[in-house]
Amino acid sequence: MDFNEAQIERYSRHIILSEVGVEGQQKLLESKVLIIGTGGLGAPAAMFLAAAGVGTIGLVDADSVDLSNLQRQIIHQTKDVGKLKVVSGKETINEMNPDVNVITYHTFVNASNILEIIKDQDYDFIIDGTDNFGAKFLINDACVIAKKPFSHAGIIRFNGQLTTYIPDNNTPCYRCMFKEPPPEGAVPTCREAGVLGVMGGVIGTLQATEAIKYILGLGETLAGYLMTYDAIKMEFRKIKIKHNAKCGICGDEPSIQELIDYKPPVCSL
Amino acid sequence: MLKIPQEVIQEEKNYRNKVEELKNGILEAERFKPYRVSMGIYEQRDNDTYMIRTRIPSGVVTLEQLEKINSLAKQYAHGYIHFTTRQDIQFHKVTLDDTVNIMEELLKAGIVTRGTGGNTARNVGCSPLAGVSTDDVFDVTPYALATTEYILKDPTIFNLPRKYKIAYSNSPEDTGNATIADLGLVAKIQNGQKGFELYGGGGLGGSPNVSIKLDDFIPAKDALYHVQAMKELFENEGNRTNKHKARIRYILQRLGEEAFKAKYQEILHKVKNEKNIDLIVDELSIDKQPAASIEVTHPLVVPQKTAGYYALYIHPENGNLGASHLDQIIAFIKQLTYEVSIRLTSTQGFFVRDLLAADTERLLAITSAFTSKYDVDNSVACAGAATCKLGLCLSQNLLSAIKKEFEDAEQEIKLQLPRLFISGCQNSCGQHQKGEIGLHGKAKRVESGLVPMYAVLFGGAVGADKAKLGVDHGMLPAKKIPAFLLELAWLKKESGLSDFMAFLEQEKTSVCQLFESYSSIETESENAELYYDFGVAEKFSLKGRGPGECSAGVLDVIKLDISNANSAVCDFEKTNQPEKLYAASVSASRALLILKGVDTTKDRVIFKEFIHHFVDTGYVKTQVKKLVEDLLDYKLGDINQLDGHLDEVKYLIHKVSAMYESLSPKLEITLQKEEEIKKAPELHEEIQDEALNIVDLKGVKCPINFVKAKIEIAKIASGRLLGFYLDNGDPIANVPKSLEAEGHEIINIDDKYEGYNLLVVRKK
Repeated sequence: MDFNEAQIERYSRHIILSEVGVEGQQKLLESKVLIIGTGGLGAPAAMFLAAAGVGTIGLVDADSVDLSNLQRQIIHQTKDVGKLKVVSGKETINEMNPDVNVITYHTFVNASNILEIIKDQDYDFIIDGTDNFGAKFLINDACVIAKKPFSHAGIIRFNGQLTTYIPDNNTPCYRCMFKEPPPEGAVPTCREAGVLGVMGGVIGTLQATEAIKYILGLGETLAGYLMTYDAIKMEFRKIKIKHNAKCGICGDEPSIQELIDYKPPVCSL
Repeated sequence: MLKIPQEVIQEEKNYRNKVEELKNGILEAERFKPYRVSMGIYEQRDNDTYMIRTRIPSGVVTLEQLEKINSLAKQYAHGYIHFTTRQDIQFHKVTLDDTVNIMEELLKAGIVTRGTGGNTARNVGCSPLAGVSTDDVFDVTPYALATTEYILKDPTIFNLPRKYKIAYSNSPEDTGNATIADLGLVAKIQNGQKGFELYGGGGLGGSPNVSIKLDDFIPAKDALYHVQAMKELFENEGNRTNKHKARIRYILQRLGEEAFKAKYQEILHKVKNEKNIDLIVDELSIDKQPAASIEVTHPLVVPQKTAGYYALYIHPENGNLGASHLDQIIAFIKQLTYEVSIRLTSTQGFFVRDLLAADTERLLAITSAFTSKYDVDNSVACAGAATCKLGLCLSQNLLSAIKKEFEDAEQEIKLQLPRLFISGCQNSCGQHQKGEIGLHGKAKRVESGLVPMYAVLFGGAVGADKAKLGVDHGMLPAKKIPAFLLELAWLKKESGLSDFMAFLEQEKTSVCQLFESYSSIETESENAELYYDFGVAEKFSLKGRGPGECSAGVLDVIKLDISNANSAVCDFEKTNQPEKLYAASVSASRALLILKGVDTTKDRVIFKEFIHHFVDTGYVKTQVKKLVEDLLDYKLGDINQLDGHLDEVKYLIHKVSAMYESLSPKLEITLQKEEEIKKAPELHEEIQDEALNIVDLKGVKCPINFVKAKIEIAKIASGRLLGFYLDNGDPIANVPKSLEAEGHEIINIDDKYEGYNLLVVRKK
């Protein structure tokens, strides 16, 4: 576990923290985080995880960079418009921190590929940075089945929410809180409703915080809580959520036996 | 009258000099503050106005003393006095100069103020009707007074981690508040022997709890052993670094009841072995002969145990009594042909006791002009935001508004509610947790702004085996409280129940509904009034609020000196002016002297005492003596420069900080002495045996040197040693401290090298 001079300097502010220290930084460098969606949430999460020295970062996205993305997706630059998001993301990360090994998956997740992607590098933690309910339930169910901890989050307009799922811990999953996706049209998608650019920054950064804390075994995560953020009122709330014994995926008698593709994805930003 | 120890008298007389020093700029305000506070003088919300608190021991005051107090109020304090919830009297809005005059005049009347503020044993509480009430088990007043004399004699009492509240009650009804005190003694007779049921670890304020019972019975003569034992427990276990978590109840909360009791017994055993402080009280007081007379029945009149004698309760609104009213009372008592006694209560009022029936009625006729017979009017309200820096709401104005709301109500409604206990904030100066109805000020931010609110508590009580804290039922806007209480009184009247708690229990649902109906906060356009506190034209805000003063103590002074020393060094590094380095040395040398009882501004004395207490005793290297010689030479003008001494001065400050940080709860320095560090022979052998690995961090700046040290330590096994070369100055001042904070052990710092040091660390 030798750090080179550059690494000592780069991570010095982590190493100074007794809660991180040499061992913690080593853990980060050896850790693997999968980020699904390289958009509003995924971009800041990826940037901070890369800066923190997470050794392996997987990026999943099928889209290309659009000029309208740049209001919030800070991992992409104007010169990247038209480029695949996963490629643009990898380039930005490597320029910032060459210690990070970026693995790209140029696809959307679906019922038939998600478990393989998770298993590909045996990721330690998964970040849901998608923007549609179908994908969110898919990621939730896949992580429950694969017994992987993950951070769920969503943003819309001036509001955001997130929670953390940790397997084998009686943690409620996303489906414990919300039984199934809302009927089509009930909730506006980003494209229809708009979103304040910083929302992804705030919530995505909190997701990165959860990942780092999970990797370091530090403090308390949002397992068992749904955190909401209202940027208009400038109000954070932490709502305690119990595991739902009747949950379709992690309940006592799960009704979902295989992954579901909710179609069509309402929005594919 | 109380025997005042000579030391206390001297200290009070010295107050004038301190104020002079402050005014002449010799003494800084921050240094003056803890001193002032320990004399019971607090700065009020308006700058340069002060409150001065007397110590009326256990509420026992003579007519002559009261006369003196009243004349001082006229002369210096706007013609009124304030009765407190700790059986004391305060003067408000006094100038600093007049605090000196008041103190000196009070001393002539045998009244001290020392120790009515700060971290010490406060006024010893006592049932105001002890010795005369019909439920009197025995008169506890002599015990309470002897306790005051005992604590005032002990100079170490003035340096406790926080306040220490002792109280005596003459019956299980606990009118002295013994069951919510740090140490509470409730009179009890067992097998014909006088004694006390013993309580401890209670207190209101933040994280409140009622006391736990420590003993079913202790003999009365043992009282002082317990006073001493609880004090030592506090010294040993009290939290000195966090004043907000220092009171004895936090020790109880931390240790749990069993461990707390065990520790207490252990210390008590030790105290009993070491000391001989049996308390023998003069038993000569003879009960009065019954006097034949008419019977007086009035809510403010309490018949005494000897037939024909009465105690009259006098409760000025909000505890503030005007001098002319007090004059009338004094004049009345003076013309009586027999002795009466005066006792202050913990409810912001006082009793005139031992009155004959006819005189009771005559005095009542006088006091009726400025007092009320209804409990709700005689409620308790602390000073609140009117004068107190901690206050949120104007608690006394609320009480006035409540009185006004009830003014026109029929008599039967006025009789419904019990006495209210109102605090202006969550700190319990108005004792809100002890009332059947308690209120404490809060502030709530809503979209239109900040609203003054009160939390409403129900069901508090004191008493042997029945003490409990009031339960918080939610909060209401301040402006809606009077109407809410009036309607509550109506509801109670309709229920036909006289006992308030029984009424609450039976009418729970309707009380909750009533509460709900008053809890809404309308927007400012709908109900602007809600955004203003009582009696104020300005919108409610937290302006003027500040940190409280009552915990100011010596540690603040030490911290101040160390921070002055550090900033002077910074200045020197920027400007290279030698006087900065000199000033830093003086501040550092001075910091800890306060613990040794040395309080001087003379540099030469400071250095001399520092060498005596810290260099000659081995905490600091003897080379510092040479530094001091050079410093004094510089001061005398023999040398012009102090160049080359920077590292030594930094070492001096570093050592002083380390000694400060090592202070035990008893304020003893636990830092290892320099010689011990050097002399520890087995360590040296170990260092050699192991062929110590040394990492060279010379030339590596902070904080990267610390980072590198951590990386190297991570490579070795727990318990192994590792050496580091570290430069003089910041690196050697910071890195060992930081590694120590991570739990590693500092084995040695060897400074025999030129410009750098060898630090040896054992991995945790």
